Amino acid sequence: MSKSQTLAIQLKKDVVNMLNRAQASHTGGCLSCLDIVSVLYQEILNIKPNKPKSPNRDRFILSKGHTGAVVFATLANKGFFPKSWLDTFCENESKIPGHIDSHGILGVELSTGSLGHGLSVGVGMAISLKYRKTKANVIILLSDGEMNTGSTWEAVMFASHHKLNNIISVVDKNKIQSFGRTKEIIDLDPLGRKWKSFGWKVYEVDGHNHKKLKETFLRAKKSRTKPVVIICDTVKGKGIKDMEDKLISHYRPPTDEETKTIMEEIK
Amino acid sequence: MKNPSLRDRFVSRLIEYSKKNKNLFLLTGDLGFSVLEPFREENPKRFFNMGVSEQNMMGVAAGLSLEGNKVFTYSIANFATSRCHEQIRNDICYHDLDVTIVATGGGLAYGAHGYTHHGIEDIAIMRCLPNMTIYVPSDRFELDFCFDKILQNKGPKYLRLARGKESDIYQKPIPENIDIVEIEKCSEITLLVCGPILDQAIECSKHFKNKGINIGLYSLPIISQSLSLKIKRLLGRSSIFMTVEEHKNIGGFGSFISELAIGMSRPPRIISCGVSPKNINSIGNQEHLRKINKIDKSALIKTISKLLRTL
Ligand SMILES: Cc1ncc(C[n+]2csc(CCOP(=O)(O)OP(=O)(O)O)c2C)c(N)n1
Repeated sequence: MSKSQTLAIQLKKDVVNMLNRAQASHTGGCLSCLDIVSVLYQEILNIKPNKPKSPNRDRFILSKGHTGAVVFATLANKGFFPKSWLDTFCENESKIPGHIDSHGILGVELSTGSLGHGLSVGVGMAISLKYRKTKANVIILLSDGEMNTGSTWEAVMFASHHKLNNIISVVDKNKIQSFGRTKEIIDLDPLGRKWKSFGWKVYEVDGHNHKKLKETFLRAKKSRTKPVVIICDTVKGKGIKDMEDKLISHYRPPTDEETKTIMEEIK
Repeated sequence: MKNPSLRDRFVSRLIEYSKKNKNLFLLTGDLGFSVLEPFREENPKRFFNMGVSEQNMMGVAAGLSLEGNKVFTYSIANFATSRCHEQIRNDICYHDLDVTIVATGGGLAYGAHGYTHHGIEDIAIMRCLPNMTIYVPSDRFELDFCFDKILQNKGPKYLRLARGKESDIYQKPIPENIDIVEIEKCSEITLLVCGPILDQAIECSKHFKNKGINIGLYSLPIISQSLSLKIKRLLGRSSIFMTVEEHKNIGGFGSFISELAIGMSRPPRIISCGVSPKNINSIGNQEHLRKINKIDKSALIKTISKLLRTL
């Protein structure tokens, strides 16, 4: 088992526990991006807990802020803050709310929760990194529902126009949003061809295959002239049978039973 | 049968009206799971899930309305207001169009979801737009009261719902010929309240009543310049008014009342209770956040007790 897979197993436990304890929503979108986040933090991102503000660090933005639980769990496991904080997720006076937040938390670049903000902010960071001749990358994790937002497409056009090859966008394409399937609301396909025609280098990959994810990220970092998007084919609610590919996974926390099963499954 | 929630009540009223008015459209910004399905089933051709595209949604609403339709949009407070403010300003308000922007999550209803989901500046930025009327019902009865007015009003409207599951405050329908609901007559100190935080204010006024002290209490579920005269008349009847709202204490209901008071020859003293800007990144549930911002029952009682000592 690879290191990122080991991390993913730990994250799955932590996230399912957090959501169950807090009776929080957005289980589906957490589980669909969990493998992506594991590979990023284990293999790709240059971000160190002892130097969270280092000017040379890679910048990671979770634009689909409603799945902050995954990033909070990752940061705790990586030593950015005590793991005990995870037990306070969404509680009164906690430091970690339902949507990703940077206030009082090291390792989070941007508080999000309203979709369609992350890529623009990432573009700003990418321009500054280039200006300062810093060799870091900006990696933005977007949802497919977020591909509905006009602001994202404004940033998409701008980034390629300015050849911001230090940007990697990652789309968690789980094909379900808040009130229906992406296909029924605004059909995004062919999504890869859309990004390509907007001037981006496009990779499409299985978003749960760690080996493929790692290879693709490494290739993306080498892009010379273009920003890169990695469109990840994922399953909303991945790993909890009654949630997989179901709209209800956007709302329902894992039950006690499901939580128990996950804990036992991956001892 | 259990009473329907405020939100379900809204949808059933909308469906009822859609049977009479075939020009009614409902647009949603990818929200309304387990709420809007009955409307969609009843009116498949007059329902659109616009996706996560609030700016587009408001422009489309304006277009539908320019073609003579009555349009409702549905989203969460900030996405329904901040995100698409210019579309609302130019396309809907400037053209004085019959669009009702329905928001859920007004105030601190989203609790531990965090600041991005707290609708605490929405009234401020909607209130300043031309032709806009704001409706903030505190329970099902105020919702019905507001809904009847919304059906008659042909201009831009903002209907601010909170959790949508607030329990009943009133016992019977509110007469339609009033705009300000009197719960306790004016006294030396009078509370003016906007929205579901009304339950806390009622508890507060009861507390003093039990001690033989009368605290005035009025609910104002409608914010509109057209009520200026009526409100000013009310403001002449106490020496101290305390406004209570689940919104920043900048630009919202308290500011609305204060602006009216400023124009009076002898303005009363106004104390505005709302969400303090310094608490915006506090984390917790709605109850906790109300407490931190001193708009829960106990904090209101404390504030009034202090005031009483100075009288
Ligand atoms: C601007 C904006 N509008 C609406 C919402 C409410 N909302 C939260 S998540 C979501 C869509 C969920 O689907 P997707 O974006 O694909 O996320 P995932 O499936 O990865 O959880 C919506 C509409 C929001 N967060 N931001």
